[in-house]
Amino acid sequence: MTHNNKYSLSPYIKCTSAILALSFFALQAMAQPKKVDSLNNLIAQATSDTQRINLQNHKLEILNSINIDTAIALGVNIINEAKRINYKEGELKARSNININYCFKGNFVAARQNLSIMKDMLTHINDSVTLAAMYNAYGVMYAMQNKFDSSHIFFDEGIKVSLLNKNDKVLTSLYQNNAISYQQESNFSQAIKCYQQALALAQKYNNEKNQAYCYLNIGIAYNSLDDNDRSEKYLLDAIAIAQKLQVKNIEAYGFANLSSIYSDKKEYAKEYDLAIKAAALGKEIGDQGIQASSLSRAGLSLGHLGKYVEGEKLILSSIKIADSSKQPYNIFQAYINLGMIQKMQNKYSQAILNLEKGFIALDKSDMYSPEVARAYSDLSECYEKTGDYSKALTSFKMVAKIQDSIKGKDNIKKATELTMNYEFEKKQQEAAILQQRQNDLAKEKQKILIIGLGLTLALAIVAFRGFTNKRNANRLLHKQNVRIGRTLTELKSTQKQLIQSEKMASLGELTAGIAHEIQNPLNFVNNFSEVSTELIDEMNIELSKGDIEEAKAIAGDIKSNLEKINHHGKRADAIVKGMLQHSRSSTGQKELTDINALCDEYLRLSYHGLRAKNNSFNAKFETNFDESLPKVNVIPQDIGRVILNLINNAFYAATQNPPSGGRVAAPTVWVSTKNEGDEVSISIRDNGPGIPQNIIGKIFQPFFTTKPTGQGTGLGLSLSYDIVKAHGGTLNVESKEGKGTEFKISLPLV
Amino acid sequence: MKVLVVDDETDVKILFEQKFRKEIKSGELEFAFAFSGEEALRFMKVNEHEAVLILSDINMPGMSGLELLKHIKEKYEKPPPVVMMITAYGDDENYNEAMKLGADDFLTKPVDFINLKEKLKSKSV
Repeated sequence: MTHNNKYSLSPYIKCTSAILALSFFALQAMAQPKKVDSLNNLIAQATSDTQRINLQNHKLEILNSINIDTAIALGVNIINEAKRINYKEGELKARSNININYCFKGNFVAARQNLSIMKDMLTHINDSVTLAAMYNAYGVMYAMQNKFDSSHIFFDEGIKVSLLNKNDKVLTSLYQNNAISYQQESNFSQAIKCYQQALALAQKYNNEKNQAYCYLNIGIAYNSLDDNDRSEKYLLDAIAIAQKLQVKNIEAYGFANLSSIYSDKKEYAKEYDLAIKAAALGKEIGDQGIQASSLSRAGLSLGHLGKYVEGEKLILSSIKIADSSKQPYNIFQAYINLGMIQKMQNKYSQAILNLEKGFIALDKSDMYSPEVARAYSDLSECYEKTGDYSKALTSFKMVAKIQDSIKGKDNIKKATELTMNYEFEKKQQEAAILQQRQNDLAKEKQKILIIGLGLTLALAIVAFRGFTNKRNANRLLHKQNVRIGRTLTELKSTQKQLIQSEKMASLGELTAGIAHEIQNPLNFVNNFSEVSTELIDEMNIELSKGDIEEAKAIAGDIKSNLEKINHHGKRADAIVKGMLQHSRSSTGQKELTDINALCDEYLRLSYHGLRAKNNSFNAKFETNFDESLPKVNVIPQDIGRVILNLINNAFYAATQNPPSGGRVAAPTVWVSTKNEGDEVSISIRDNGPGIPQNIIGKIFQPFFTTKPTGQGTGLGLSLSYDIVKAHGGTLNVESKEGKGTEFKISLPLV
Repeated sequence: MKVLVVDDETDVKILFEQKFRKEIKSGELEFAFAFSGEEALRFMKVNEHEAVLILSDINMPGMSGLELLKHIKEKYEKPPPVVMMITAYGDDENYNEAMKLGADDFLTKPVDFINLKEKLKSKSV
């Protein structure tokens, strides 16, 4: 049992608390919002009541992202004024705008009442835009109470309506809110998908603010997927735009989440600074949720820095703010952070009290996040320290339950990624990481052993209960085994599919090159056969003139033409064959292969492919093939794929501008081979910007790519590495920043 | 008239020699061949003003046909030779670029030799 537990539970626990609550979206002006001041002027000059109300609604949309309390006050004013002059459209608009602010304040009673009035009004007025906005508000209200199933129903309904009436403004908000809802459920792949839909709309309208929202939330999603580098990049982008446009709430959430990245990195001083910045911004915009969450994070980071008293004080102040925000997750965060800082000081009973308080706040919500799992894991440890092994086990089971749930919700690619990364690291034999893992496993084992020992004691006292427990445990164990087996099979099949799709992707890149490469020999076949026909006519004329010598000379030309036709026909044939081999999914047979010819063929394919795809592509290549190279026993299409991949990369790198700007040499790729006696080496070198030292260790990892999203699978070098290794060879890289990169394949001759 | 053909495919030499065997025999046309832009420039340096018509492929490794065209039209003042471009990709971008650089004609592969023969003959008159 212990043996199984350590594998099924431990790899998924995040080391530090992760994600903060996210901001849901009110409707925003699609165009760049005018300054509130100039709007106030327009409102003062309004010539009719309805015009004034419309302008005030516009102001409300802007205030939504500035200050919640002011927005509510203005919204109530507009509603009263609209009622007075019986301007239903204006009233509806204000109601749909104000609703989210009630939710932010945790005043769900007011929100529900407001929505129910809207619903009644809409049965008399046919206004599909406001209807969609109302569905949006319902969705937000349920999502903020962690009732995600209900929220998706309303968002989906709203999206349907908005797609029909083509109102992109409401649609944007719906996509974003649906995404946040998925994100809070830990369904990150679905969340990123929705953000991309929203981002596309924001880009369509060149709306920088919405782009910033999307960057922010995509950054948060990547953080949840433990991809800190990508996450940081997106968050910094979001913060930069937010500061430029003065959108404080994006800035606040940006800093808060950036802070959580530094927590993951264990850079607690930085975590503290950023959290304090976020909390100050939260206070400025009246968002108590982010304020509380950031303060409690800052407090915990002080704890990590050994400043327990200050930290606890800060967290206590955050609990007050969290309580008045009425948002369950913020309250939960504040209490568990208090518990955690107490646990750090070995005050286990106090810690248990506060952790349990945190879980009470979460009551009735279906929040299954890594953060909750982490909290249960801490609670388990506290119970264990206080000798309450039964409760320790119960908490531990909760961890397992949440992990299973997160695992189920996580997309399969993520799981594959984890597995493949794990495999890779194993292969690399990175001693340090391995050591760390072993230590962790030993610790985990020890922990479970202690719990097990405690349990055994309890079992001895209550034998019957123990017997039942054991039977249940065995049953659970059996179930887990079956499930793990099934997951493994699924992972293997997904991995196969990914490899095949990478093959097809690189084939797609080749298509243009192949077309060019086939077109040239075909032109020769056609031209030489045409000219031969002309020559035969001429030969007949010479024969009838009786000039046998000239006829013979012409026959000689015809013969050489036929050889040319044959040569170019074979050339086209070889290209088509190579293409078929390349896409074949089963592995080929090893055969004695001319490496020089293989390099030459794929160099041409790559060069013409890039040239055909991009007219401005401009690079040179030089070859230096060692004529004494013996044939090597390899699977030609596999090694060909490695060569092609490295050459494609080299051309890509050579044509990138160096980060320092200014380029001295023309983009060039060198391909050379060398007979090294007991092995042959293939070198592919470029004079591109080089690979930065901090990422050179990662380039062979699966899914690692520096290309923009969607342009590279990140599998090319990883598969290349595997192929060369399977041939008993090595694949090495040397790179100098600003000078270029050289990849060297070495293949043994025996 | 001397025609310099520039193409990275070496078999164009045999092809042109056969397609224009009558014209070569009668002395009407004379052909020289270069297999890269760089080689073409070297040829022109050594045999200055001998070739009056250059027929160049665009897509070649190293110096492309367009770079060669630019070089010729800028460096050879009087009289700059006639330059005709040949390419497998007859897209607008290549065409416009070639015309901007002063190409005298633009042909797409596969080459229509009957048409080319007429063009060469009209230029040689």
